[in-house]
Amino acid sequence: MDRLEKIMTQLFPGVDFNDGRALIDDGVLTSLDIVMLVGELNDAFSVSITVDDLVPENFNSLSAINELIVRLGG
Amino acid sequence: MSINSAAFLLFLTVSVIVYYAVPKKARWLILLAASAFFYLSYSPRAALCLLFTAASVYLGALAQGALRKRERERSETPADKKRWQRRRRALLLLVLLLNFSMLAVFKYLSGWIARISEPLLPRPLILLMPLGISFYIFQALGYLIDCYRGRVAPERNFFKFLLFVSYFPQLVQGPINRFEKLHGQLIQGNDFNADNIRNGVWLMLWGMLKKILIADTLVTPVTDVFDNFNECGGAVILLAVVMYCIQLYCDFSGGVDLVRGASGLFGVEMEVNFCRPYFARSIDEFWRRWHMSLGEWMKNYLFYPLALSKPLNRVAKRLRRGGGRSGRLFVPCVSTFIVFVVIGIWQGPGLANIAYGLWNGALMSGAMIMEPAFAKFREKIGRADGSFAMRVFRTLRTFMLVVIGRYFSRASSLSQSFGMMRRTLFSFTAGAHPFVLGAGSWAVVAVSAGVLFTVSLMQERGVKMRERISRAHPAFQALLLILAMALVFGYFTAGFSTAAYVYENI
Repeated sequence: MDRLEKIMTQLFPGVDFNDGRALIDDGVLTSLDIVMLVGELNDAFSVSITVDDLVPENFNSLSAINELIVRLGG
Repeated sequence: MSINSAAFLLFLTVSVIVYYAVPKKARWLILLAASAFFYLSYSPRAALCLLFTAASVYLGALAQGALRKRERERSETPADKKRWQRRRRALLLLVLLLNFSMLAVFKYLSGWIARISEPLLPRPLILLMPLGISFYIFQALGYLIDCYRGRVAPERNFFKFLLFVSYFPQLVQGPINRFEKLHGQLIQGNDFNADNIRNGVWLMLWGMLKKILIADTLVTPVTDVFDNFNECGGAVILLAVVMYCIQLYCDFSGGVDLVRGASGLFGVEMEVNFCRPYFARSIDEFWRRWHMSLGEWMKNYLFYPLALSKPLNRVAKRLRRGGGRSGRLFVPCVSTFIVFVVIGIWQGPGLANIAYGLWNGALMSGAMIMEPAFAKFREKIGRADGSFAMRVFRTLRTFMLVVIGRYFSRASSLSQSFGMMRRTLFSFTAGAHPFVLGAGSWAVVAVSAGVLFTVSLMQERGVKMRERISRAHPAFQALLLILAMALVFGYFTAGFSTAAYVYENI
């Protein structure tokens, strides 16, 4: 989780990930951000995130992203 | 039957009365019958194309469901699973290919077919663009891809699926609705609700007034300048392109307001398509506010698959190993570029449309690449960054970038686009050919655009206009309703007819 938070902070400086807003549903991250993030996550955790995983529920919060990575074996 | 006509209002009124008069279980059949009547009154031949899309996607989706079931039951090894997945993908590609080929024939080959057939047949074969073909094909194929991905279960009743594809309010120019949001609302049979009727009527009137008072008033002078740009000074050309931006927004969003309002009368809420795009402060934000249902479609079914595709990610991985930002930006930049070129090609044949796509792709990618420089600038100006002046500056800058794009999308050829740009830049005079709009029409456009701007500004600040009106004094509500209706019905009874919607035949 710490590693994930570090990646997120590096990629999106100035974004508070713990302010209670849903990252996708509340428009904090756009589709361009998500695509950049997926590339980083695939590399860092040796996972393979597919189009099927790109649903708001998997990216709305740090814990949701973390769960996705764990589910994919990262 | 144009949706901006007295005949459509009569048809809609009868459909709404019959819808609520029949038992709940049968209400979806009324929607299906009304949709069939609407489309057949437009063109029985065009209905064949719609039927083809509905039938091919219906069967394709059922087959996806059946293959997915077999994949689950019969796959003993990963190799078995892959074999079933390959079959499903091949089937998906076949249905996509069939439907996109049909779209391409009407969009790009109709002129060529007419020329070829002229010497061979007694009369040249002229293919007229079926109403709303892009929109229903995109909507149906979105459903098919969702079935392929296992996100929705295939609809087994063909007529219920046909209603999802042919629901008449969405047929003229969208919005492109998603199956999981729309289908249930169409099938369940909605209860009568006075709020739905009130909200629907307001939205319809608002859309009609945008179209009648602003868009249609501007059609003739804008067309005149584009058709005679060689005689116009640069200032007149710039004025015409700015006016075209206003015309296009009022035409497209007005039409969508009208059909969303009409759909609301049946208690069916369709996708939102516009969110005051000219208030956007960046081009990225503009595209998240303009034609939103197409943007969603492109994001889910083209941008994400491209961005996660193996070839692009192999290159990106290599770039990321070298460090720096290029590896991070490669995938979003290339995917964005491709998506905008596709949107340009979708707008129609011709290099000007491709240039329009390239312009927007370059702006979006450029903004991503330049972000560190923008961040430094924001840091440098400190608190002034969030000031009112900066917000206005960013909004105007974004609007001007959109205006430049319209030189491409409205022109009939690339040479015309560049010719008009040249005159705007190097011959910025009034010229011999003015922007012809009578004083009365100017007043109509100015007052209507002023009202539109004020309402939009209030909405930007979170005011929900229809709720605000419903809380107002009944006498004020009645006055406003009478005024809006008098304008709309006065227009029809005076014998005027509206211009076709710009996106009607796209």
